[in-house]
Amino acid sequence: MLTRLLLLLFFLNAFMAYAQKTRTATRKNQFSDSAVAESLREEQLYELPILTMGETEKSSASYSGTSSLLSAGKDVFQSMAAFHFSAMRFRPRGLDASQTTTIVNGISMNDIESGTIQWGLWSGLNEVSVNTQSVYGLRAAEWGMGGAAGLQAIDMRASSQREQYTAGYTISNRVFRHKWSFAGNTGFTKKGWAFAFAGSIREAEEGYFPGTPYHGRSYYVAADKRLPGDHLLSFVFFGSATRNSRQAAVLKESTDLSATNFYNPGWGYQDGKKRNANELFSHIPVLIISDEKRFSNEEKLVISFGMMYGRRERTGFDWYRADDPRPDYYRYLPSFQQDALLAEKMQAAFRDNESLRQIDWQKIYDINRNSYEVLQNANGITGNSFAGLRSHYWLAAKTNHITNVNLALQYDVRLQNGWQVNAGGKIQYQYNRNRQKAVDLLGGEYISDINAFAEDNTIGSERRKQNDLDHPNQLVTQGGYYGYDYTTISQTAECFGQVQRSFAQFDFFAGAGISTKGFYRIGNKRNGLYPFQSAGESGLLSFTNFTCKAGIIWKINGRNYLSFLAMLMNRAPDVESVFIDPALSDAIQQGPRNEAQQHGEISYQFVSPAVKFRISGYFSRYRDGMDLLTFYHDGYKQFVNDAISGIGKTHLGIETGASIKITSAWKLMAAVNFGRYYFDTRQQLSVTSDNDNYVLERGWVYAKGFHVAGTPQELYGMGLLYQAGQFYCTLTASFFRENWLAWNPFRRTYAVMENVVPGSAQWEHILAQEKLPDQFMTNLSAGGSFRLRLPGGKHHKQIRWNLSLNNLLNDTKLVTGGYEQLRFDTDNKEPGKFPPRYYYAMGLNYSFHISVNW
Amino acid sequence: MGAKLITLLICFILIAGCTRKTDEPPAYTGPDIHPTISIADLRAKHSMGSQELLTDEDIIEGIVVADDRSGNFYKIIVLQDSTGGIQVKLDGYNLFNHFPVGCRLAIKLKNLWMADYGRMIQLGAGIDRTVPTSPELVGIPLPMFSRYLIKKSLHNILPLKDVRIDQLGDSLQSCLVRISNVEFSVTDTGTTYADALNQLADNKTVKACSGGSVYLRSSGFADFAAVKTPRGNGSITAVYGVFGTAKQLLIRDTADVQLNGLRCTGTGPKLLFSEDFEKAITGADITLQGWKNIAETGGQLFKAKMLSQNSYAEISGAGTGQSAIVSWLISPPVNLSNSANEVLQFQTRDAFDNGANFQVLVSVNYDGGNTPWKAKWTVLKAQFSKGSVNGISPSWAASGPISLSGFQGNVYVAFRYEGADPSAVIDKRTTTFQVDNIRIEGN
Repeated sequence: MLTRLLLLLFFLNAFMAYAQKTRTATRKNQFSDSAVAESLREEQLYELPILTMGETEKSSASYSGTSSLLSAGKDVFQSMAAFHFSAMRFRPRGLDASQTTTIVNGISMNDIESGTIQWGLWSGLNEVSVNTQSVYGLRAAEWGMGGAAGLQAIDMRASSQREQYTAGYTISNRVFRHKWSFAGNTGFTKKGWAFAFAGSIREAEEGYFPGTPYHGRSYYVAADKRLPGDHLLSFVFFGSATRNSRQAAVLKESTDLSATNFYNPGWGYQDGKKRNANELFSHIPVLIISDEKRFSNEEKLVISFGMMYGRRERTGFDWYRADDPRPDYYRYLPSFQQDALLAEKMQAAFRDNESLRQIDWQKIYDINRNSYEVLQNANGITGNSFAGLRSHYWLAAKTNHITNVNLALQYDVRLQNGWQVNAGGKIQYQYNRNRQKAVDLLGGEYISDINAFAEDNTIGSERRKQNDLDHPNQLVTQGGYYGYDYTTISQTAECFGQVQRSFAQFDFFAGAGISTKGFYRIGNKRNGLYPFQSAGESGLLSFTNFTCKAGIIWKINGRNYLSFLAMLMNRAPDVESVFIDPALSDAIQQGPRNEAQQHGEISYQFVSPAVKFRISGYFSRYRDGMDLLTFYHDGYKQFVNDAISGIGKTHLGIETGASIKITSAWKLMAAVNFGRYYFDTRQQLSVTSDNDNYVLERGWVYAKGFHVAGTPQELYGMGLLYQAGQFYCTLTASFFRENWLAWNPFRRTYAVMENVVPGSAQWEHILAQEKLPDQFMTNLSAGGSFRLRLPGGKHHKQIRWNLSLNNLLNDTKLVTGGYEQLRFDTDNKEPGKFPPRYYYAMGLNYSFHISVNW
Repeated sequence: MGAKLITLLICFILIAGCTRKTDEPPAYTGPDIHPTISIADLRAKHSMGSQELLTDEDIIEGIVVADDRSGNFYKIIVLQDSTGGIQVKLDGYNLFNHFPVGCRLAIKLKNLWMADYGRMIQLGAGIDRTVPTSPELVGIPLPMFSRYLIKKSLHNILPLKDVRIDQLGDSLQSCLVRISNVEFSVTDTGTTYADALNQLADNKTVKACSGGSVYLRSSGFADFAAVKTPRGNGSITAVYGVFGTAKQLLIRDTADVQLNGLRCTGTGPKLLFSEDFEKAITGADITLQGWKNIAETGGQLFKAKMLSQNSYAEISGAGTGQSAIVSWLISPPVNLSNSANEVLQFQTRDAFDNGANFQVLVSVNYDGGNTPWKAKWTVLKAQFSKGSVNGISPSWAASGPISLSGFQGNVYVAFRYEGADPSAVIDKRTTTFQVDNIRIEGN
């Protein structure tokens, strides 16, 4: 009784803390979508369940007992990469998030438009996403062909969860401060039902980086029912509603002036409290109904139906006839000033005065409160003038309302003659409505639905500036939609088949898959810049893709294995790489085509009770990739879209991991990756103006030899594990090298380099790609469990705890990545005018988790 | 034991349940700060052509008399107190958001620079010496605004001075002045304030009736750059400035130009043009000197008619049997260049109105030939007699005054009739229209 009351108090505390939280509900943002995916992935990595090292989770559906490696769990390299290298944004083999296929209960969780894994859908529900079958790299997976980085299949069904109740609490200083979580599973009742539920609350007024609040609520309910005929019918419903602000990439000048690398320009003080203008919100609940029919222990069929419905929002500033509100806009920084004395004064002012470095909310509210203006011809009615406070600054959210429907089929059989067959098919349809919403007018009363960039005094500008020709000069109040409004419809259909066989001396598998992908855009508003191309349906773009994968694993003896794996595939371009500017028109890049990929791996593995060792050589080649970048062009003095095609890359390297058991308690681990990832084709560039789709430039991007950015390409890590009973402790040290800054393709073109003397210092300076410094990081993780009899309780309960300490040396200078700005000084060709922006790793950060299970 | 727990629970909920809601920040209230030096005294410290760094802890205070809302001023606000005015260079766009006209502003002068641009004194934050022979005053950067500029209150009355052109001198630099009894020179009337298409500035000559002239300069980026200058006489409110030795006026927007009266040489309303059709031959097609009577389709021409000793022009589609009738009666050219505030008036009557169309139009590019429909005509808004379905209207309807002040040079006034007389009665549009006493007056 007392325990229950205490728990109730515990959760009430959490909810009260939530209720007290304030409810404070992007011009164009380069890299914005990939940055979102990046942050979501980052969040998930910080939340990976803290498991005992080497623990492998096999789902009940896998086939045990084969002495092959086909269904092995995570090996040393993978585990270390997942737990210890992710803080430095290390990506194994340089592969990105879209190259791991993630499946939950048979339904694919990769975003249909961009391919990235949507971690955010179940973030915070670690307890129920533990049951994961993951295949790394090019090995055979059961649930599909997978991508170049493999496949992971998560089983979230009720009966697959651990039969226990758990209540846990995590305290951390990373992304959130407090997390309360609970999970429970009844196991199968006599009537054949099994129920499971879970939930968590994550809260932070500020994470590790200043101005990064976090609020998350996650929930999960599931029910399984055994039906006659060996059917297992499962219902799973889960969702994660999160609202948070994240770290921003910052300029070196800003971090110098603020004397810390953790400078965040996105926040400012409002009434003494930090308020961040950039906010991400996501809530897309998922429902999956699946039925597994087991014909026998060797044969099963799974049919799944999934549905997702929800929305995502990205909030940021928008403004009209006003100065840029961002404190690190290049014109405000001391480096912009030509008068050295003035620049010095400004530097001193910036250093001493935090409010100059952050957003000035007071000034923004004052300006809006004093802008009493008359809107002529409001709502398109001639002579109708509306007088009121017109906001010059407001917070706008780019919103996505998503409806996604999935149907999947999976059939697995192990034949009498020893062949295993996996086959499956999937159909997916997604409706994604993109709109812009005026979330907070910041003290003003209205804005008008016009495109400020098209508003000038020339003839016809009255029409051109309209975002909606059918409702011109629309008056928009707080919470109203304005700006762009278009829907992307995407659909895919795929099927695959794979055979595997384990022979005496070798294992063999081969598989192939074919899929079609189609998408198109529907414009819901007719705008003044593109009256004939904005509203209505665009043409359907469709692509056919194939994948084939095969591998031979030669079992030299019970301990030595040599594998040869290869994969050939092509991949349709992303929606955002094909449409040049979907907010304004349905124009597409010329000749959208599939990206061709070839992958190969040769591995040698040694497995013994004391020593586990793997060394792999890997190779990947990409051809005909496409990309689209949008930025402000200083030469043309307008926003332009850079359509790039013909992107080719090669990744090759050697990856090795070893774990050596020194004594029964001590284990030594090592992981090394020596990779080279670079672009090896010249890319084609087509620059079009945002205002009228006119092709301004066509040319080549001289990309050969540039390094792929976003991950350290060389990694040397070592770890020491101590284990005693239920207690373990791991200390790791890693050294990262060859991490390159994301480069601006537009800067490596003939048009930009035209008047620069070849071979001169300026020439080299403009072309060179910056390499980030070598970094060193040490981490500690520990955990254990014990039994305890709680006061007032009758039975012993199991208490589990985990501690994760990253960056033990508190090195605050670790650069994890960054990018060159797309905007470039075309007049004077000075790269320092728009210098790169960097991301920094957290200093010493921790996460301590304790849970009670019964 | 249980009771203790319940109370604990209740206390917990009460404490935790107090919701804190942050609302919007409070409105701005200005600080307590006073000027230590007048703007005139500050100006006296400057020697033309050089740049001074202000090192004393001085403060000036004034009211903003011009901001950049219309775009005529760029990255500049003009501050004026009771002794004089000064331009302040600020590196920001849409400064009217921060320091609108009417704002009382104090400026902390220490570490600011004073320089001049063509002898126009300005305050700034630094000097850009990239071109050593022509150092440029740098505006105060936006992050530093609050260091130097202290807003005190808004919506203050502006220190407007009434002056005469001959009184304009350096002591009035950057002051808001109003000169009365002035007009634009004839060649500068009816022209755009600046070149909006190429975004080039332009000067207009402003003349006083008692003699003397000054330029009115407008930027090609101003939002009123494409507006045409009025032809009347009246007062202009502007900020007085100089460029070298040239005297200039800079308006904030077109509301500053109130020229609605008679021009200096005007002796009262004068009749520029009139026609009463008395000289036309009654019953025949109108063939008066300079007039054009043209049938575009349907072959019907305006005829002269007489009733009660009064001659007038008439056109009708009745009984013609023509499926489409378009007819024009075009006046001789009328020169508007030497007048202002021209007004057109005429009278009309209608009879048996069944929907035919009668319009008055004006053109500046009609070539005087026989194909008027090829020229560009502007339809003028006028009152026409109509609605007399079963007979003739009882009296002449006045058109009301129609302004021609938007037109320049030689204009043609045309009356255009559009009707039809097909066989089906329901489709007939054969109204008879009469027009008389056409007058154009100006001053």
